[in-house]
Amino acid sequence: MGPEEDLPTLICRKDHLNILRYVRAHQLRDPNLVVTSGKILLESKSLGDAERLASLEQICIAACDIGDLDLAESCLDSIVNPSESNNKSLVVTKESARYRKLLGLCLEAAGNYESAAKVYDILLQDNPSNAYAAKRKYCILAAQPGKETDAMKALDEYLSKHPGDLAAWNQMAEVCMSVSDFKGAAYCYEELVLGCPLDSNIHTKLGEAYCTAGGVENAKLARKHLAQAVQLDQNNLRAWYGLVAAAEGYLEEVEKLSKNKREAEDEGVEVAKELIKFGGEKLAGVYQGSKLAAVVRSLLTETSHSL
Amino acid sequence: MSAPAPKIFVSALADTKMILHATKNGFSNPIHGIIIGKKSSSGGDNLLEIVDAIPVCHEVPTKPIVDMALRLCDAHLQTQRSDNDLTIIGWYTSNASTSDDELPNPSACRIASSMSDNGEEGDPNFILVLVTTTGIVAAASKDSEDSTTTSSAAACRVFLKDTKTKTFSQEVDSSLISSENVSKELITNALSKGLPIYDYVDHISSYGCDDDWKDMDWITNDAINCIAK
Repeated sequence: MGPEEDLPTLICRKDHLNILRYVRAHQLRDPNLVVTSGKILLESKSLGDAERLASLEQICIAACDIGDLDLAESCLDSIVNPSESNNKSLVVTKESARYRKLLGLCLEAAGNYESAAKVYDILLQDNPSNAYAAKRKYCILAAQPGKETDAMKALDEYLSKHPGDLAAWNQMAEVCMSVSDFKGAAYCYEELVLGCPLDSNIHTKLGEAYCTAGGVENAKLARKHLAQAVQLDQNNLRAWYGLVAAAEGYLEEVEKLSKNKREAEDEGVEVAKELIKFGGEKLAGVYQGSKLAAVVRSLLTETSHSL
Repeated sequence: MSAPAPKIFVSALADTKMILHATKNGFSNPIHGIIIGKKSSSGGDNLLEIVDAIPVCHEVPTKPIVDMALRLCDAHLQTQRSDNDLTIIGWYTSNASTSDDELPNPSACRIASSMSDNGEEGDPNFILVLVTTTGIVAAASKDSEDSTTTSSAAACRVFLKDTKTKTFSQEVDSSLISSENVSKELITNALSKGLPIYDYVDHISSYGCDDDWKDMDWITNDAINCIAK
């Protein structure tokens, strides 16, 4: 695939094989495109075995994504159908782990969670460190309303065995947020920050979680992480807003302290006030000349009055 | 003796915006937003009119997000104050899981609680609106209108703060909720045209990486206001 072959060009040219390859290579999630292109591609019947199987797998997953279970099932059947393959050495049987992963996914999409769980249990029996199967077992629990505590336990177990899986830490953070466990979410985001210390968005999310958790110490940490976030990426508007909110939150928390404790935070208070002014100037600059300029200006005057 | 439940009227515009927000972002995400409206009373009945909906986010809301969105919304309403007396009268949400239409999620309840506690006595008529999947499907379906109903049921359920438990568990009976006759038409129109709807988080996340940033008017969402006229 050359550099001139981007997705819109391929779509114009109706080059379905390369459309599917492009989506696979760039790990895009566009199930409608894959299903449309895939259906046309499968009818052409001019594919080599390896390409046919890879495409069938991709189309099956996309079909599950959009809820077209009939298509998903027919893809599954085609994969293990020996009469459709040209090369007899590339035959897929139902014992294949890769096939069983797909089968599990289709069962999940159909809402048949019991059977799906059985498939993943067997995969885990064959290979106890199969991270994919363990994650899908968590997903089955997460998909059912009312099973939030079981889901959290399953994810917790998974994380204790695979502590380096950053995507899982991200998922755990979101789960904690949804049950209002902000300290827990902050813990998960801290793990993410360890893995990606230069990612402005993660520092933003961490700062926001600390800010929402409340309390002086958390407010200070919130302020620090949001300041780090804007330093890493000056265009992170969410971090700028967060910085002003966190600094104000910190000032509010300090107000609630007893006189002695408040004096210990004097330096922090000065820093917070400066951050609010700094953030305010940046926000005013961002919105200059735009429709929301007046609204943002009145927000900032209100902020500076309270200083 | 508790006050009688208010009658609630949902404008087609608010209905459409909430549903668009839910359908665009609601797949495994919760959605949250602000309800703008008017309060009035006539003949002993309290009437809450939901005039507009301002989308805030499609994730679990954090303090900075909610604080800033509310303040920007307030500032916006103040610039419009001379035209009408619209205020923030509620919060709307839709749950992350499309099969969960039971009760509003805990973060929405928390936000509604703290918003209704503002001021000395608080606001006893602050509403928490839950946009349900069944409601969206009914509103967007192509079935013909039942000609015997004069006002169609809204796609949402409304909750008030229970005075004893202080939680938003007191549901307003659906017979007290009504919506504009043109609601269904506007909703199907907006959905079929694939109109864009922006929330506060879309706006702040696209700065610097999206050329359309300046058009992401999350407070007014003019694309929908235009077809509502």
